[in-house]
Amino acid sequence: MAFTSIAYLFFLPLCLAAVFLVPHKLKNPMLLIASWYFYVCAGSPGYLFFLLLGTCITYAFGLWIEASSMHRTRLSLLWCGIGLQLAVLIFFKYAGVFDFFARFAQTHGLFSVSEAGGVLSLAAPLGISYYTFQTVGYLADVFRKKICAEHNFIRYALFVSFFPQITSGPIARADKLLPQLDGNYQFEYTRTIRALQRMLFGFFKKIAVADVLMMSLGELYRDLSSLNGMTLFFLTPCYLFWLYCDFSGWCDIALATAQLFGIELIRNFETPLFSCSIQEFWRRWHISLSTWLRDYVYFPLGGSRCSTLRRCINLMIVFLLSGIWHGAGLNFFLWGALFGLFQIAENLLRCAHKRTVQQPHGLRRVIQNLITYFAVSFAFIFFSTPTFSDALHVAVQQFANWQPAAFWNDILSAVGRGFNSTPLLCAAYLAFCALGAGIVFVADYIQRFHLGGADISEAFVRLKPLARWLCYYLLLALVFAAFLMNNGYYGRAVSTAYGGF
Amino acid sequence: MKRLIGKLSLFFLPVLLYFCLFIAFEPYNYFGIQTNNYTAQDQLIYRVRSFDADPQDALILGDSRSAHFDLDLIEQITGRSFSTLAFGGAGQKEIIDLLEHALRQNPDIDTVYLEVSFYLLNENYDRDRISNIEAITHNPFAFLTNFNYHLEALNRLKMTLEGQYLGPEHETAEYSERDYAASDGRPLPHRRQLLQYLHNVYPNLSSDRDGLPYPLTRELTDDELFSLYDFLTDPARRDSSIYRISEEHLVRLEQTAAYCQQNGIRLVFVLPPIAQAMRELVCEPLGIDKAMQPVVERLRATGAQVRDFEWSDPPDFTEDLFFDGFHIDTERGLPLYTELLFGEET
Repeated sequence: MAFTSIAYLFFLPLCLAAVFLVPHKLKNPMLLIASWYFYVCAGSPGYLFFLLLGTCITYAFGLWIEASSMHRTRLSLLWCGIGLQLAVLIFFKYAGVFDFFARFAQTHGLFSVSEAGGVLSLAAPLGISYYTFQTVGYLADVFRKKICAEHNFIRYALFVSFFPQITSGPIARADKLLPQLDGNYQFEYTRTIRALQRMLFGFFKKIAVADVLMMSLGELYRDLSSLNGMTLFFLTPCYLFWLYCDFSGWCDIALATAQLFGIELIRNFETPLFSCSIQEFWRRWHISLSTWLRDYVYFPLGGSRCSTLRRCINLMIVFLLSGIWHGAGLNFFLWGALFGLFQIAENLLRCAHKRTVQQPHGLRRVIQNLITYFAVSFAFIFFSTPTFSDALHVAVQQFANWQPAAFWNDILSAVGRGFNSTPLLCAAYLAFCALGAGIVFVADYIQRFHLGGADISEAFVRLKPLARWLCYYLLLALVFAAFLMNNGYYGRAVSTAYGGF
Repeated sequence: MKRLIGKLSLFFLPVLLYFCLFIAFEPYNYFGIQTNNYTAQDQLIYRVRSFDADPQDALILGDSRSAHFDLDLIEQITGRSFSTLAFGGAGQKEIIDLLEHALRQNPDIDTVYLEVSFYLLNENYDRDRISNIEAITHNPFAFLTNFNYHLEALNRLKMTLEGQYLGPEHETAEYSERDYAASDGRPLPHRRQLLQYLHNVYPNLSSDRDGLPYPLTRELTDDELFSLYDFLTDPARRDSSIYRISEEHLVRLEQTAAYCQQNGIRLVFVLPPIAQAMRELVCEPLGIDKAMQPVVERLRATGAQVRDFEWSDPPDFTEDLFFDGFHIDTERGLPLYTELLFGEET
């Protein structure tokens, strides 16, 4: 089950009804069971074991850390708990390095195994990167006495397994989420409307923009060596846009789902594509991960309160960790390293010119925005391509041999293979993509510059009823058409680009 | 809550109305509620659902050349009920996949007429839609959300609004002298519709697709038909053949025959007849007849019965019994072919 599946449209209202209608004492257990059910349906039943294992380990260690008074004991327990949690994550995500274990698993049919470049790797349990970081953050907060350890196992398990965010985040903080899991889940009309508005826009970004775009983008990525330089140049910026719509759409659906229960999750994106610097980009992109790394890695390493050299090292460590959090391959490592270099260079330039961070205006803003967008896109070449040689090919060849006719031919071929080769439907597809992208751009612009970064539902609220309903129907029509273009997702395993972490 | 439910109902109302429209005009009568859909019965989804609901022990599989048999006539001839899973545009892989599906649904199948032809065995002709069809036939949501079916439904709606005929398709026509002779009285080498058809089929089998003397998009004149005949019969055409037998499909056919033999299923490989024009102007110049000889031998070697009307035992059918180069006229030719093919079942 995924957010975009028909099954979810049945699951969610049933879950809401069940949670709202049962007595107060049973609300959390009901929501926990629903979350586990969702997790099993979304992935493999066998991986529920690892989710429960992680839950039990960190629950126990949280209590032990709180119970200990000696600092050294607390620290040892902290590292032990973190080590055990990370061990499971490392085993699954980086077992390709330990090819032996993967081959053993393959021979005995223990877990799903994939092979890339002659090295086997195990399919990681769904959402393991997210809930691992979430529980590690919990242990760190207990250690720092920022929060008390959670004694109620049901509540703690729900904190780990809460279904809107278990598969692809956002990574929740214990001090924010745990207090909300108090079992006081009630229906509230205005909050529900706002949540549904947000959900509608999330579905629009995910289904009508991202999944439709991927039909042709996926075909282009199948054979990078055959593409014209001009096609390669625009490929990664399109990929970045696709990734934004895919992941932010998914997160909007997750946040909206939680909001229906009256639970507020951290926003993961704040119009990052309008950023004017790398630093700003990472303040607005995958916020839950970047703030987690800031609070639990960067600050403990010393953050900015140290020498310039040390600060640069700290930054590089954080970005490299971010890279390998996404995957074990060289590409992810280089992706993180590139961003680390960009960030370091930006900081050094800023220090050299003794400038404080100020938001540019007008044309200068547009130019800085475009430079930032293309710089980020360049780094994402390593994120988007399957191998290092592919990344190198894209990085180098994108500046060579620009032929508009070949570019157009590449696009039409990709649309033909991925969607439909009939000229009329081809044209309709391109128009559909352009319309979807235009709506996302306008919506983000309004959010950023007219709503002060508030949620998109604020834009709906400010419209007159007729205009609001016209917007609803336009978005519904586009989502519905895109859902059909994807054949209702039957026969295709679709989650989100970030669903594999 | 009531207010919310009211607003959600209003929100989803257009979707619901659209689905009602879709169900009314979808081409396969999936839900069995359409009263005037005559074309659905020829479609694969309808046939798979019908088969799954009431499978017979005798089965016909193939593409459009096997899809129009009159099952009542076959029952009259053979005394048995047959099911058909033949459908237009099928590929060889799909035909075998459908047989596997049928055997899963009905392990009691004892007789299978399975079409093989040079066109199906073409390496460049490969389709694979059956797993999707299996999901759709048993999952109404998969059917309701299939994009191509929505396009087809909208097309049917458009045709209905334009008052176009939506009745059953009949591959039949009446021919006059004009169809066999040029306007100046010269007899055409073959019926003009056949020549036109071969002109359209030829690019699928020859690398000379760009060397065709006339564009594919219009009807040829009398002089052009004569020139086309000379072009197609030019011995140089042999070098332009891109026809290759798919070894993968052939091996699968052999495996299918072995399976049927092991399980007591009477398998009949059927190579349907083709028009003499097709043989003379396309297959022989491109060497397809020679390429198919070892294929037929391999099929015979499996022990299964081979009814080869395509090469070694073509029936004495005149051109007017063929609708085009491949398809027998459903009114004039098909009853004769049915008698010829199934007569031995009695």
